Amino acid sequence: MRAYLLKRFLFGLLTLLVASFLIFSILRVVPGGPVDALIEEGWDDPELRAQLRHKLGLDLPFHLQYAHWLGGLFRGDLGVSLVLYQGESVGRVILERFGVTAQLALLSLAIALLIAFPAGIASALWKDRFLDHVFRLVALSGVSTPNFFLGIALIVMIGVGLRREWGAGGYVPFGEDPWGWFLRLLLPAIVLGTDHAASISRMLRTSMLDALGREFVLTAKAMGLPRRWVVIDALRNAMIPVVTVIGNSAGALLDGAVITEVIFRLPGLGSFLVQGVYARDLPVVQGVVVVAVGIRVAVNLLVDLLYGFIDPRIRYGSGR
Amino acid sequence: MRFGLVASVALCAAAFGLAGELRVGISGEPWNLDPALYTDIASVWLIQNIYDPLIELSVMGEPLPEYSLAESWEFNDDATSITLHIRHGVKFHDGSNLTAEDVVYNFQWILDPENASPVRKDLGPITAVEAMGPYTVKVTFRYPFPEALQYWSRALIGIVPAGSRGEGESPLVRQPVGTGPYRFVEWKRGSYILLEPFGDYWAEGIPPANIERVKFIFFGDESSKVAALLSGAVHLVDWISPRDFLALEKHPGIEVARIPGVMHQYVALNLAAHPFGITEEEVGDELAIERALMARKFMMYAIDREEIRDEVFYGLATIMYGPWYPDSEWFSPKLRGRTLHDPERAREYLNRYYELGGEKPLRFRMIATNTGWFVDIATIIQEQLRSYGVEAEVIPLEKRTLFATLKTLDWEAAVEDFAHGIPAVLRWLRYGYYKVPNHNHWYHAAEDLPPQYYPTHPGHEEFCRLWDEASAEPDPQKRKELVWRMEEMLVENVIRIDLMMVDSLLAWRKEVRFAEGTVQLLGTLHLKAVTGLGTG
Repeated sequence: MRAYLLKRFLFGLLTLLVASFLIFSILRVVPGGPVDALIEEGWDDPELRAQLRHKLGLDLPFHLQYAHWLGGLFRGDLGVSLVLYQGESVGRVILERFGVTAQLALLSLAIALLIAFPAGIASALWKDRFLDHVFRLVALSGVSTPNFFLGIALIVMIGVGLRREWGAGGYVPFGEDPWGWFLRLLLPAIVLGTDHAASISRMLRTSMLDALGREFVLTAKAMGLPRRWVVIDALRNAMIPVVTVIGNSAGALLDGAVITEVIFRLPGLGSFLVQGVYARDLPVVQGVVVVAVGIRVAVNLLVDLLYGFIDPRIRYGSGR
Repeated sequence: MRFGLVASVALCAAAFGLAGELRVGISGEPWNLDPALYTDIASVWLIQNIYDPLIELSVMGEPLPEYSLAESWEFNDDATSITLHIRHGVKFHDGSNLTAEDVVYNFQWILDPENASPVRKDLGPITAVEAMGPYTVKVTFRYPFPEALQYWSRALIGIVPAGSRGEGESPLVRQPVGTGPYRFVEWKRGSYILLEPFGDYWAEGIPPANIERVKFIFFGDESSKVAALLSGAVHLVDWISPRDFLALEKHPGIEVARIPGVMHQYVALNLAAHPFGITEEEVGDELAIERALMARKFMMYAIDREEIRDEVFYGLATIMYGPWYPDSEWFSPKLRGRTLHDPERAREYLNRYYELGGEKPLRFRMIATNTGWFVDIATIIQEQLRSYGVEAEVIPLEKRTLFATLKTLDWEAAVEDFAHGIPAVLRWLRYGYYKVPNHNHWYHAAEDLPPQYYPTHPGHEEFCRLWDEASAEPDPQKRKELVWRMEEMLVENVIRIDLMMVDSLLAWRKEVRFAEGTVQLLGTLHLKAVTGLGTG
């Protein structure tokens, strides 16, 4: 187990390293940069440009710039913002904003699971019946509806139609106003949650159908075990692929948060990334992407470890 | 019991906004609240309310001393120096008094190249700035600079206390200290900036008594911003699109206004590449020069501006007949009302282009910023040109990528816009619109450019002579006539295709009260215009 963990940790580190190199390189290939943002648009001044490039360390060779940034990364220093929050530590701002994204992600995941489990199980138990068709149709709509569309539709319905100020987005910390906090996170969480609920419930339905057709279930039914016990047993056996999808969804919540946070004015990592891209604030974009990759790696590891708890037959090790 | 009541009231206030709180929705989060270091528009909305400008200008570019920290001024006879008289009784938000020393500090800090201020060049050819008394400042120029006030209206949009920027990073970037009607309170990153009225503000009645705080709320998405206005989450927004304008116009709780805009839409043509320009090897090749000119003239008459105005801007834009505001006295009367869309002439010029050896069919790439309306404009132009058998490929690019591309030769046409920030005819006389070394769609004629960038083939020397003459001409009427001639030359040679000026479209909730005749100030989010908040 320890060897497995070490191996996964090292592999995760390697993934982070490759991701950091890719994002660092891509950002330097794309035309425009922080200096363009710090000079009046369209008004070129070669002297000022050179001065700013020097001040920001952008006149160093590529490998030195990367080495400096990577060195900082290993020390936990993601550099300083060059444009958005000039001179401020990117790591500190990420920490500040991570909380909002984490709250949104947890609430979204809760909503996703609350919808997905009853829907997935009901669909499997009443396969090809009216309820199954309804849930499948809803799931299909959930997967097919773009987040930005659902987000704006909710704002128009709640914020404009019902004239609820919280429906127009924004963020209030929990400590200041718990009810306001919940209301303001509810709509974006519904947007993200329904998206993931659809994929989780579809997977749960398939896995449950598979499990319900297995011999142990048929035996249990033949032995006259109560239906709910049979369902619980089948559910436990159907969980491995479902956990994988939930893990993927948890990791993907940050991807979805990019658009959702912008639409609902949430000061999280997603909107920070968008701001960083528009401002060409290289350390901000690099920092958020590396953190996002780190979260993905961590979530994947967690999901792998969860398999062992769900199915004790799974053992971690060298593969012998 | 009492605690419960207080808590309930507090919760309601937090959820639905405080009474006396003016909420302003702006696109994007400001980057920098130091008035000598900002480069983004969101920062301007804040800076102009936290600080006062040394010189405020009217929409037509005339100085407005009643809104300026310099209450009067006089130039010497040849405009090589100006003496500014600074307003008495002005206090900074830190409690100190504004004096000539503060103004001198602001000039000197920006002029110091070490500080890398992006507005340094807008201060002009200054050789000395000195305090002549506690409220008098003298600024001396290397050559006559009668446009100083217009330039400073942009370069000195806020005066800060002497020494307040310190030695390293300017603390004003995040903790601004100005003389403006509202004082900085708090910056919640990613969410809002909170200001409060400055009780010691020098102008009477500003800020109004029933505004207790002002919250500038950041929006990353335009639809959310409009929804927030409709829901009452904000009272006022920085701008709205023509489509939203038409929708909001019908809404009972919202007021809208349409005022002359400053966003100039145009199609830039690369004069240093085929088909609209010539290559370096073709310098002096009369045939190549004429061929490129024919391609440009074809474009000028083939594009139907009215269709663009109606389809993209729903009619809420003013068509341009040349490079300057059509209703401005600086705009050549000869150009006003000229024929803009003429398919017959367009075909003649296109045929002439082919006769002179131009590639058939005429084919080019048209880059456009991928946000806003630029791609829509480019697509309409693409369709219009298709009826002539001309193939235009529309390439959407992110804004900064587009600007970076413009600095290369790898483009033929570009759809973009720019704001007439400083009354641009003066800036144009001094520098060209923009000093970008390797493309000239900004009418640039600097000596450091290779010849194919010269803006007015043929007749570049004549254009430069007019330029020098107009810059030095003291008589306003003669100066205008010289400017008119230059404009005519630029239009004759189709240096750029000016399309239209988009109207500034404003929307606010009916609760917002503002002084009569100040809607333009309100439109640029100068909260000096706001006299209070009503009940709708």
